[in-house]
Amino acid sequence: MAGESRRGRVLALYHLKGGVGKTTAAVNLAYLSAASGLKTLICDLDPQSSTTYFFRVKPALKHARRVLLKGGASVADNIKGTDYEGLDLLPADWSLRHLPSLLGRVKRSKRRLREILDPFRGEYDLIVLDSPATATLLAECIFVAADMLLVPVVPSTLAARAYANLRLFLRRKGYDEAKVWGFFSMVEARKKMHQATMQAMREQFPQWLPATIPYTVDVESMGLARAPLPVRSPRAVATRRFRELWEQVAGRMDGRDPETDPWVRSFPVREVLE
Amino acid sequence: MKSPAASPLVEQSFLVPSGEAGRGVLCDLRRTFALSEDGRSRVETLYHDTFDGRLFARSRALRLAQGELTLECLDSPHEVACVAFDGSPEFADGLPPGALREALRPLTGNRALLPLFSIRSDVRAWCLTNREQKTVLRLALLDEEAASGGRSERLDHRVVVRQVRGYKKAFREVCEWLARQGVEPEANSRFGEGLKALDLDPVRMTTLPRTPLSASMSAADAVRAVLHAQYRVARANEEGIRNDTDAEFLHDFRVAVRRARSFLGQLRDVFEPAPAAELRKSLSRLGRSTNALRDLDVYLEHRKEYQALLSDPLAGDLTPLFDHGARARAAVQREVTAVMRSAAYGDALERWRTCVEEEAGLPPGRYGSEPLAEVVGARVARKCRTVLEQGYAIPENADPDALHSLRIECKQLRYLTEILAELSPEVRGVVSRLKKLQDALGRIQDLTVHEARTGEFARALSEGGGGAALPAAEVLVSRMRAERDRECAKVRGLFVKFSRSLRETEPPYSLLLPWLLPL
Repeated sequence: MAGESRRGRVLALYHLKGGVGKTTAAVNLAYLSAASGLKTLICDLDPQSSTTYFFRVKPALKHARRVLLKGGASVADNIKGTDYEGLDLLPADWSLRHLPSLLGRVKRSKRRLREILDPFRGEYDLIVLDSPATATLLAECIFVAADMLLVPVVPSTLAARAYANLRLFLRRKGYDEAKVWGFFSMVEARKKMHQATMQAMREQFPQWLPATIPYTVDVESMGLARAPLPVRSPRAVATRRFRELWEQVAGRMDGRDPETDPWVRSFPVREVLE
Repeated sequence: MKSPAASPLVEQSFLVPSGEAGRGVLCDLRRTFALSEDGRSRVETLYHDTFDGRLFARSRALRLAQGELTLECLDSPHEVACVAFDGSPEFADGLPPGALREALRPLTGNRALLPLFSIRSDVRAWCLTNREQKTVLRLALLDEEAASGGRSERLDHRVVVRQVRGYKKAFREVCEWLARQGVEPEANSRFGEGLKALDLDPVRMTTLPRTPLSASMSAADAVRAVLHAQYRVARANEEGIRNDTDAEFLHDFRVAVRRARSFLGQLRDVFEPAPAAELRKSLSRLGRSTNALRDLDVYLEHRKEYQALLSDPLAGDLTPLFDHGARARAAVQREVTAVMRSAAYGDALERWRTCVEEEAGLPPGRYGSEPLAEVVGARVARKCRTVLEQGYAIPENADPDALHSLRIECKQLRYLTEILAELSPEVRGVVSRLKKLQDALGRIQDLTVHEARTGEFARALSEGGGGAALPAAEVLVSRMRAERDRECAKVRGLFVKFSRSLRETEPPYSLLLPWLLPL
C-alpha cells in the first residue's frame, strides 16, 4: 500500500449496532498497519472517546466546531502522536455528539468527511475511522469517505439482523457494496449457535474476510492495559487473529485478486436482500 | 478546502561533550525529566556516491539504512526521496522505479554508486511520559563510529530530541534545558561529521589541480600541476577498471591520459622537448592499449538505442549480435587487466609520476617561466584559428572523415580552453558551446565506428552459423547511416553558434575577430 507518491486509503470500522468490537478492531488494525511500516492515522469519531482512551490521549478537541466543519489546519493541529512509531490519532471528545446535526447544516454534507480527510491522504498511507454505532447522516458520510468499510459482526441473531438491515440500506441507497467487507467478532467457538449463525450468514451475504476474532479475556483486558493487543499480549490467540485480519484487509486494499489471493475469500453477490 | 499544515518530523540534535562533563549532563537530564529507558538498538548507515563525488558536488548524500535508501539534501537538510531497498545499490538505473531513481539519474548519469563510508550507531532510546503514562517526547542517545577502508573514527556523542506530534511543550522544555547546560545544537549533518572525522573528500578525483591556477603563474608550474591532476585521476580509476565495476572508470582514465598528452603536444617548449616527447609517447601507448575496450563499451552502451531503431521482430534478431559484442568485450577486458599488471604499464605510470612530482623529470623549457595566461592564450588563439578555418570549410553535406579531423581539433581546443576558463570565468560560455559541437562530432564518429563494428560482428556470427542476425544487422547499418547523415547536417548550425559565442567573449577570443566570418 505504501507508495512514493502517497495516496492514503481510508478504512472505516462501522456497524450500526454497538458493542460489536469496532473500537478494538480499529485500534489493533491501526497499530498493525503502523507496525508494518505504513504511516497511519486513526480518527476517533465516537463521542465516547474509547479509542482516544486506549491511546492514553486526553479527550479534547481544540476548536471542535471548526474541525468538524472546515477541516484543514484545524484538524492537523489536533492530531496527536501515539506511543507507537508511525501511528497518529485524531482524538474525540464529547462535542462530537453534535457532529450529525452540524453535518446536516452544510452543503454537500455526505461528502464533507471525505473532503476533510482528503488532504491527509497525502500524509498518511492509511486512515482508520472508528465510527460510533449510528445510522445518522454521519454514517452516510463514512460510507462516502471510506475506501473499505469493515463491519464486525457478532454471530448472534440480533447482530445478524442488524447486518442484514445495513446491507439492505446500502443497496437501496446505491452505495458501492464492493467496498463492504464483514468479519466475525467476539466469536465463541464452543457455542453451536455462533457456528450455525456464521455459516448461515456466510451463505446469505457476500464478502466475508476469513479471520474471526475470538471472545477472550485478552481482548476484554485491552481497556485495562490501554495498549493494542500485539503490544500487551503478542502471543495471544486473539493477537494472531487480528494479524490475520490485518493481512486480509491489507490484501483487499492492495486490490489483490480474490481469485488467486489465498487470504481473501470472495463470494458471488447474491440477490438475497430483495 | 484549506490544506493542513505539513507536519515535518520535528527533531533537534545536540552534541554532548565527551568525558565526565557529558556523562553528568546526561544523568541530570534523565533525573530532571524522569526519562524512562525505551530500548537499545544498533543501526548501520552506509553512504554512497559516485567515485568522483557527483552527489556531494550537488549537495546530496545517498544513505542506506534499515532497508531504506534515501537521498538527502545537505544544504537545507531534508529528504529528497526514499525507497525501500535491500542489498547494495549499483547504478541509478538499477533502482526500483520511482522518485528516488528519477532524482538520482540526472545526478549520477551512468556512474556506479560506490560505498563512501559507514556510520555505526549504538542507540539508547529514552522517552518522557505524562501522568497518563503517555509518551510525549522521545530521545535517542547515539554513540557512533564512522568507518571507511579499514579505518574508523569515533564521532561526538549525540542526543536527538524528537517531538511527539501534538506535544510541543515537552519538546521545548527539554531543548531549553539542554541549551542552559551549554550543550550545543549540532550544526553539521552526520554525513558532514563522518567526512570530517575520516578526512574524506568525495570530490577527490577532480581533473583540476589542487592549487587554483592564476594568470601570473609560470607556465611550467601550472601545466605540471594540471598534468599532476590528470595523473591522480588516472590512478584513482585504475582499480575500477581492473574490477570492471563501471565503464566510466575506463572513460575517465582515458580522458586523463588524453588531456595530459594533449597539453604536452599543444604547449610545446613549456618543458624540455626530449623528456616531454618521451612522456607523450608513453601516454600515447597507454591510451592505445585501452582503445578496443572503450570502443566496445560505447558500442554496448548504445545497445538499447540501436535496437529501438529497428521494429520487431528485427530488433530481437540483434540480440545475438550484441551478445557476441559482450563476449568480445569480456575478452578485451581480460587483455586490458593483463596489460595493467605488466611491467611496461608500471613503468609508464612511474614515468608520469616522476615527471609531475619531480622537476628533474620534466625540466622547464623555453617558455617554462612565461606567465601561464600568455602561453595558453597564444596557443588557444592559434588553435581557435585552425578550428575556425576547418569549420568554415564544412560543406552542406559534410563528409564524416573531414569532420573527424575537426573533432580532434575541437577536443584539443577544449582542453586548452578549460585551463583558460580557470583564469577568466567568462570563457566558460565558449567551453559549453564547444562541448555541444564536440558532442555532435563525437556522435558522428561513434556511428561511423559502430557501423563498421556491426558489420564485423554480423560477419563473425554468420561464419559461426548464426546467420539470423545478418538481415537485422544490414537494416541497422542503413539506419545508422541515415542517423549519421542527419547528425552531419546539424554540425554546421552548431559551428555557427560556436563561432558567434567567440564574438561575445572577451580576449583572447576577440583577437580572432579577423577570422570570424559574418555567418
